Amino acid sequence: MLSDPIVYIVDDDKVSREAVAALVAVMKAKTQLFDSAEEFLEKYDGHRPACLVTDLQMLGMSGLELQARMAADGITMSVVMITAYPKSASAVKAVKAGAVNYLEKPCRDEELWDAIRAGIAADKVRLKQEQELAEIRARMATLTPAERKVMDKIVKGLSNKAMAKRLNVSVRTIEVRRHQVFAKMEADSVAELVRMVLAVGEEGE
Amino acid sequence: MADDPLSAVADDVFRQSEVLFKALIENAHDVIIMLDREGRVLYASPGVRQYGNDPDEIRGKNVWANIHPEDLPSIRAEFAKLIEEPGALARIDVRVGNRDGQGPWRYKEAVLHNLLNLLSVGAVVVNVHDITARKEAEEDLKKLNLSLWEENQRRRQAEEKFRNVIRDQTEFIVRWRPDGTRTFVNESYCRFFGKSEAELLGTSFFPLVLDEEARTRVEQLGSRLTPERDVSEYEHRVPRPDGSIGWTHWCDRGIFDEFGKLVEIQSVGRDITPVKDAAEKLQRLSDELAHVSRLSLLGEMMAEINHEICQPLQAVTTFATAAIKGLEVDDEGSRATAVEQIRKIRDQVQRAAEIVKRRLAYAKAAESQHAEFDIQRAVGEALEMIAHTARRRGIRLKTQLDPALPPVVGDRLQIEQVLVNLLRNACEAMEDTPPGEREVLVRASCDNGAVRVSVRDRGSGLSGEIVGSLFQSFASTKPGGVGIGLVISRRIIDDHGGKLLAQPNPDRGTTFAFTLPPATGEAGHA
Repeated sequence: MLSDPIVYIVDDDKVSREAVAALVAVMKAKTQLFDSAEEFLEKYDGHRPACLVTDLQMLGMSGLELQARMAADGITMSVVMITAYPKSASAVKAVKAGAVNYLEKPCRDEELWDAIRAGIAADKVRLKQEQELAEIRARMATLTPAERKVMDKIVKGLSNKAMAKRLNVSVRTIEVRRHQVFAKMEADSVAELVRMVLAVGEEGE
Repeated sequence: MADDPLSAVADDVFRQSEVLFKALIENAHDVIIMLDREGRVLYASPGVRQYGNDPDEIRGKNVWANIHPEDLPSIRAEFAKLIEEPGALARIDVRVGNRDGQGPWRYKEAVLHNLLNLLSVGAVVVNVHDITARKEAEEDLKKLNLSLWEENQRRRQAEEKFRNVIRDQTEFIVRWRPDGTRTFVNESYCRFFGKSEAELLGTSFFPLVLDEEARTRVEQLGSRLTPERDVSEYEHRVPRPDGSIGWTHWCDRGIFDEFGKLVEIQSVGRDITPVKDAAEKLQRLSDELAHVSRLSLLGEMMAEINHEICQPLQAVTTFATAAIKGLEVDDEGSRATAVEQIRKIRDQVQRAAEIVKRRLAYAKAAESQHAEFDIQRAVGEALEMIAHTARRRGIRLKTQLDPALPPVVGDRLQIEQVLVNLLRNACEAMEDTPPGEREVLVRASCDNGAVRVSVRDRGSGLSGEIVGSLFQSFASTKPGGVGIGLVISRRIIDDHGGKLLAQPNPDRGTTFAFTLPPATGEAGHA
């Protein structure tokens, strides 16, 4: 599933697009150029790992609006936002919204170079994490509802006895289900199981 | 006596001579009268009938009764003198009437000959010649002379008065031949130029015309004036005696001979230096105001200008980094790529320099420069100035420029300033317009010979209350704006002889439009 990294360049200024593309070409990474945020959203094919380089101010949808749309659509990737308005409130908002990097025009030294490389690297890490999560979810999906209930109680730190009493089954039954949970979730310890459940997060009671 | 043959011959001779005498004098037009010493009529030729006297009746009667009482004393004195001197002749003019001593009086020229001592005559012979017609003619002539004299007198007085008017008035009057040679100057002309009449007459005034254009004009005036088109008006600068430069206004009129040939030109001039000074001062203030407002507009646009300059600078930085990184790798083709990138860097540096240069040019030049220019260029440059603001706000800039627009005369920078102002206002008016509908349309067209430029926005429009006070200082549609921009804009357009108006669009937004008169050969700026 992991393929060559790609850098999406979204800017309404042709020269700016070309400049970033030239820089990315030296990194031996692939590039795809778009002259508007709308075009990017339309043509984005989910290629990973990726980094998005865009301008805060563009004709049509702004970089910030694009970021919000991507979040809403569940597109996660590193974003390098470049702007000539360093002190503007929108820049601060961009940082808070979790853009990987935000740069002031004109960039100093190798800021952009570093930011894109860091963006790609971060996306690789995040992608790895996402794949891990997906695996945990897949394992979780194999649990029966009864086993699921037992896992939730394990995470909450209940003893087998307490569980048996709470679920109105025998301690032996709990022990069998507990074994199944550890086997299906491929967990070696309670601590690891807790980490997995917390990583998936929203699930649970 | 009749028996004497000699005496008969003598008688005969006498009779014959008497006949001859009578024939001579009685048929003559003149009247012959013979008077005795006392002035009694001895004989009167039949001509006296012309005056209503019978020759026989008046015989023996005194002649004085017929003479005009006014003339009588001098006539009698003359007569008395005459009779004392035998053979004397006297010529008198006398008015003669009828016996009653009444008119109509006729003028007579009388030649009196004292022949009292001549035995054969024994009388004063008076030859009377009617000179009434001549006298009347003389009288008429005298009257005519009088009226001529009076006319002359009147004319002289009028001339005197006119001369005084010319001398006393402040307007300068100069007459000159087509080659510029002065033939007449009035006192105020002499005073104004600080020279005497003698110094000025016979020399050309052309060197006094300091403005090239006006000098060419007066030098060619001789061939331009015709009996049909005999007046020319113009203004030009002249050197003053104190070394300063004065402004004069002239109205020239051609003076033609009966063949329609231009003989002379009469120029009437005024000193308009104070007016020009005031106008220039006002213009300077106006220009300064325009300049200050331009600077403040630039200040307001600083953030956008910063962004605009950052764009190429960012590209330069990025290309430079790419080139360096590529050369560090130093693989095949990286050199060629680097060269290509450095070329792009050069282009972008030039682009940045161009932006800076343009903004500096916009900030500079306080004094207005009136020249012919292409309105399309002004529109183009104003659009460049605003391009970033528009881009930042997601506003599309559209143009509809008539390609066949005549050139206009004025200060291109100030007209651009008006356009930038209108464009900025248009952009700011569309804050609440949905992003896809934000559009500014700039139109330039020919309207009745004038050039019309309009800026249409799709914004919130103007409230009626604002429209009324739109062009007044400090009226603003923006909460933060000072509202000076439109006042300056209107002033600039007024200065250019045009009009700036605002009109709400039928659907949404506002259209601001201004007109500029087209450039013509005879520009209003002398």
